[in-house]
Amino acid sequence: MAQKRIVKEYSELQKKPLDGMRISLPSEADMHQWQILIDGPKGSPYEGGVFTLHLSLPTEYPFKPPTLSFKTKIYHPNVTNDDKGSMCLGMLRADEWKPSSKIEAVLSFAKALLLEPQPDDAVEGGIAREYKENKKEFIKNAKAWTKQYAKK
Amino acid sequence: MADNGSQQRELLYCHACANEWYRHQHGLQCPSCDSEAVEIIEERSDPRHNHVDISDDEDEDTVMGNNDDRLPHNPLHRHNPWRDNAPDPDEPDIEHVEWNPAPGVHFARTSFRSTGPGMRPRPQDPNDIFAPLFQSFSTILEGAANAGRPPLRDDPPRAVSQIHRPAFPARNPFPEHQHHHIHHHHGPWDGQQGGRSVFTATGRWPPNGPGPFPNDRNGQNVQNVLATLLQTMQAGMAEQRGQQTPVAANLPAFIAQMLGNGAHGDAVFSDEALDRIITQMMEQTNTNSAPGPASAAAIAALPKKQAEKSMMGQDGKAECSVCMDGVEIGDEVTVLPCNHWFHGDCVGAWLKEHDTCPHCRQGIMPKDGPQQADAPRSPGQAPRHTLNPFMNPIDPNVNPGTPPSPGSGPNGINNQPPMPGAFIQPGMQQPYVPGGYPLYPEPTNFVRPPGQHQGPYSQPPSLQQQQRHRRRSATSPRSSNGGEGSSGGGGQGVTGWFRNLRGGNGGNR
Repeated sequence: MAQKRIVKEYSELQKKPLDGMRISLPSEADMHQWQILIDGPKGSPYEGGVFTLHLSLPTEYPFKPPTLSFKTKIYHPNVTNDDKGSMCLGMLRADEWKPSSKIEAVLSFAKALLLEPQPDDAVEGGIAREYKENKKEFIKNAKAWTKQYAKK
Repeated sequence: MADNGSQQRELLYCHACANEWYRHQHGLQCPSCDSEAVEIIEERSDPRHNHVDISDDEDEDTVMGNNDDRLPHNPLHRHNPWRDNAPDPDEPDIEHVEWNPAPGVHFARTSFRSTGPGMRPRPQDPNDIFAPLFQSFSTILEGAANAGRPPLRDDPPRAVSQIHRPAFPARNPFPEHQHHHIHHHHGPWDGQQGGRSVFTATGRWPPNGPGPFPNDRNGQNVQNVLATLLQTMQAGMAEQRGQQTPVAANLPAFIAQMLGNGAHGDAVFSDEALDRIITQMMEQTNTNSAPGPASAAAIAALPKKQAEKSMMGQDGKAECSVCMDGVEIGDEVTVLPCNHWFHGDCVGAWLKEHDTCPHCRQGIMPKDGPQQADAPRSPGQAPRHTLNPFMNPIDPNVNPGTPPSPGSGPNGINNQPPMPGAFIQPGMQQPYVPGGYPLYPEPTNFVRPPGQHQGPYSQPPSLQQQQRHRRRSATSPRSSNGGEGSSGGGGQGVTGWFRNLRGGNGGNR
């Protein structure tokens, strides 16, 4: 079931791409690993940058949630600032996942999180605190990182 | 040495009075206090190290196997820094610590280790034994210097050999900012007789130093530096233990776990470590409290139905939301008590692992009744599990199929979550809701069925709101109170609306 549904979701997203996102398969032979390029949303400090994400779909998909990670370094409270770049998405947690969630929804959610970080649900406490207490500084840093790491 | 007749030359130690004598002279009973709590002193097991009494015995050094350091007034005579697991207070483990204030904190630690002569067998070349330890120590320091980086929630304990630099190619965010200098100085007791090691570790905190790193981390700096130092010190201690014991093979993993976690035993050194532990506990708890499978009998007993026109979306199409295959009129589907329907195989595969609707997360097992019910709950019966915090449990007194009367406000529809796309057709007695997707072109084109609540159409709730819900649901997975959602402007289901919307589903009863 996984393969069929993944193929279907992939082709749907190719047919009707999400705004500001480009999806590709690093390896045509492996439908379970997707590469996603997301443009930094307009109005966010990530504007002007392009962020590479990696979506990994388990073999049990859709009965097990996919995982989403940033390959491009990003200054964001909800993305771990390490080599993994894991993004904290509630709907991807094992206990919150449901099979009817689609990849399109996951990606939309990820993009929404770029527009509206969730400092209360952060994985980067320092960045979250800055976001809440010193937004100006946060924006400055996020822009600097975008410029440094997410150049087009 | 007591090579000949060593049995007779065995030195005994009395645990009662700390007396020492030779076995061939006084036997196995203490000649001083007649205690039988005695122990043969061996090179590997020396009971005297817990005792401060180091009164010299004229012949004792023959047991210790050394005559060359017989300096009766040397306070370190017979001192063995490896005896105790805890660091010896006499041993200057931390020679100095230098802190260099902001923007980064520099610290340096030098520790001297002495190995007493002849306390343990040494290989011919001491470097052979030290080399791996140095290597692991170096790795430890690297790990320690990077310890402030938050651990991932699902980060497994890493073995030392797997600790690696962040892999952002060509733009390593953690450049060479830490330096490890480990010197091995051969001391006066070099070679077979022992050695003296000097470990010097310097690092800078934060690892990224000034730059784009958040400045507001300064508040954490001292804390993190302390944590780093503690880790480094403990790593040193652990290493001492490792040198003493033959189980040193486990040491790297132990240290890696300790450093990777920012925690050692019950102690945590950083917010991230604490958060990690809490997350871990929550995950473990969730594993226990997450709905188990529905019973096979109940799954098998779910009503089946041929898809009919009323179950299709407005464009006459529908699909099973699990496999995303289209469902045509006449296809057999399985209907859950929440009225969501799916392919029987698809929903069965899910239910046998989780007793939740793949769409609305309400369970099919009855709340009351035997754990292994052989039939699913009736639609009016409360589910055993409802992981949807945005949805009230079904009130058994209310016919779930009855649409709210026109004009009822948001408060009047608590049992009827007004999710957009709910397929409640006028005159429909039992609204079947496709768990699948009614294939709407755009979510905003959802048309609220007539008679639904008259409140302003809700905007998708902010992520903030949703995440708040998520938090609450995480701490109380079975929370069934969707109360806060009702403040969202469009009745109780706004967050659920968003969830379902983003989930690509139109249907929700």
